[in-house]
Amino acid sequence: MIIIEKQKSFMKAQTEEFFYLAAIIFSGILLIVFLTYQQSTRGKEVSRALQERIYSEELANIGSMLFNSKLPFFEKYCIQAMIDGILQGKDYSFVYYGKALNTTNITQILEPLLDQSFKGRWRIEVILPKDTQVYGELKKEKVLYSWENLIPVPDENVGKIIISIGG
Amino acid sequence: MKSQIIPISFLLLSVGLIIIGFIFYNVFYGKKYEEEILEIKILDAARNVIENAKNYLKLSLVYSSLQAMREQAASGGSVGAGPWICNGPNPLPVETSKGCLGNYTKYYLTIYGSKFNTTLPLNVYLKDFSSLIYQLDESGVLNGLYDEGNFTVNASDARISVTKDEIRVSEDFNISELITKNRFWYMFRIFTEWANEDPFSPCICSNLGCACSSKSEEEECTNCKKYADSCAEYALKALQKKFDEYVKCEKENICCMQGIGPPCLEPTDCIPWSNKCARSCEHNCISPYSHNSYASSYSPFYNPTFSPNRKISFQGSDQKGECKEYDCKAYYWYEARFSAAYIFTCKDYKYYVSSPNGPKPLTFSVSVYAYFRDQDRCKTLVKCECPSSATSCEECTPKCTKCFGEIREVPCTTSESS
Repeated sequence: MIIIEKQKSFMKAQTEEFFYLAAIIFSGILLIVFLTYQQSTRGKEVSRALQERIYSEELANIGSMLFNSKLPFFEKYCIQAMIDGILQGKDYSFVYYGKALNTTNITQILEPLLDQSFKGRWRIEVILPKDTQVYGELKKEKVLYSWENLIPVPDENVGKIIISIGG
Repeated sequence: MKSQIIPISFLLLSVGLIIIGFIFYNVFYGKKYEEEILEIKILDAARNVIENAKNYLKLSLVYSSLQAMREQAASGGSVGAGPWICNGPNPLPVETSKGCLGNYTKYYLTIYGSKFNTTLPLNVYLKDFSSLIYQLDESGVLNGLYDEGNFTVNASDARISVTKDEIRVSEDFNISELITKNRFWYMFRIFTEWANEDPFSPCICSNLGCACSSKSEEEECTNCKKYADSCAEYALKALQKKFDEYVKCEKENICCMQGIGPPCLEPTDCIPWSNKCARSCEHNCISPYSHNSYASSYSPFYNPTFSPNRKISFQGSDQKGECKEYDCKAYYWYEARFSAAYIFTCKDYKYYVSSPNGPKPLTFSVSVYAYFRDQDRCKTLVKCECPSSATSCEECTPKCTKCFGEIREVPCTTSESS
């Protein structure tokens, strides 16, 4: 009888120990899961922030290039040609710069420039006080990232350029 | 029971550590990290705003200088420029045009600068450029060095500051822009050469005689108009010949006056005649901040010395005599007056320049004025009035000069004696 009682209490203690061991393992797993979750969430955030930064930098580079690169032979800034094209009010893509320079095609300049990084996923919107022109095939609803800057417009006016990329 | 204490305390310790660790991470390290990230983001955004502002101002400088050049060219090289031919060669000095271009470019650049802002929650302060200089010199202009542009516009000493709470990013900067494919100074040079040769005012002076048949001291051109037009046509041909095939010139008459003045004044060559069609020869640059002074520069610079609309009488000679033939004559003259003004406009179709209506040819217009009077241009020989007792012409009433000739005794006829 005493042996049976001892055996029973031994069994009970073993069960309790097993239970506590299970609890410890469970809490350990919980800790690992929690840390992994934290890591992955942070990772995703970091990855998203990184991607956003890469895209925004790339868009800013394109913007800066439009402001600072001159078209060979015509010696006009890309953005200047775009503004002049809109202001002349006929065909936005073609701008006539006189007998010696003739006509430049803005679309032919923009397409290769943006397609090499964002094939078919880009959109440039030039907003002037009296007119707006959109280059690129990307629809406004599909825009993911945008870069915008003010642009001077003759005479003493201001417009805006928005460069966007999408999925 | 003893065996339960260790696992329970271990369990509690583990859970406690997780919670404390989590709180510690978020409260201390996480928050600090977040603040750092935010600060970096603001700094990044501020730097981007500065870069964007610099790009914006760089293009603004291009448009400001093109606008200034368009306007100055249309106003004769500077807003407030006088006639390039004003009774003689009077071209606009390069320095006047250069300085005026600088003033207007700076003015427009300031306007563009004041319109810069950002949609981000940042405060942007822009200190305007303190100086703006066109990097070119007179000898270069007159030697054709800047015929195709290729000159630099330097805007210096601007500052942009971007602030957000305690964070402040500031940068001093200058902008330099090379202007190319622009023939402002080419047209300026050709007009200068043309004005120095002056094909207009000597022509007006030589045709001053057309005014002798005028009916008053000052009137709209009648028979002098064709002479004015032919002088302008001659000047236009001379101008067109100087330009290349890309430039087309035309002329427009802005006024033409003729008249006659008092008789017997001191003989002169062509001297200035003050009239409605005369203006100051002075070249100015009207400040872009005052737009009402342009009209005042059209003021005649000398006043007539005799009363207007005075009738000029032409005294013929009444001849009386009995059996005497008076052949006494004297010179009589009166003043001829003639003035004409034209605007010569040339358009350069080689390079178009940006304008509010898209690229357009650069249009350069200058005015030319010739306003002359010659006190003895209308000269005639008239018979003198002689008293019946006169024995020599010197006793006759003189005209502009003393009478000369002779008094002859001739046999009386019936008609003469009556």
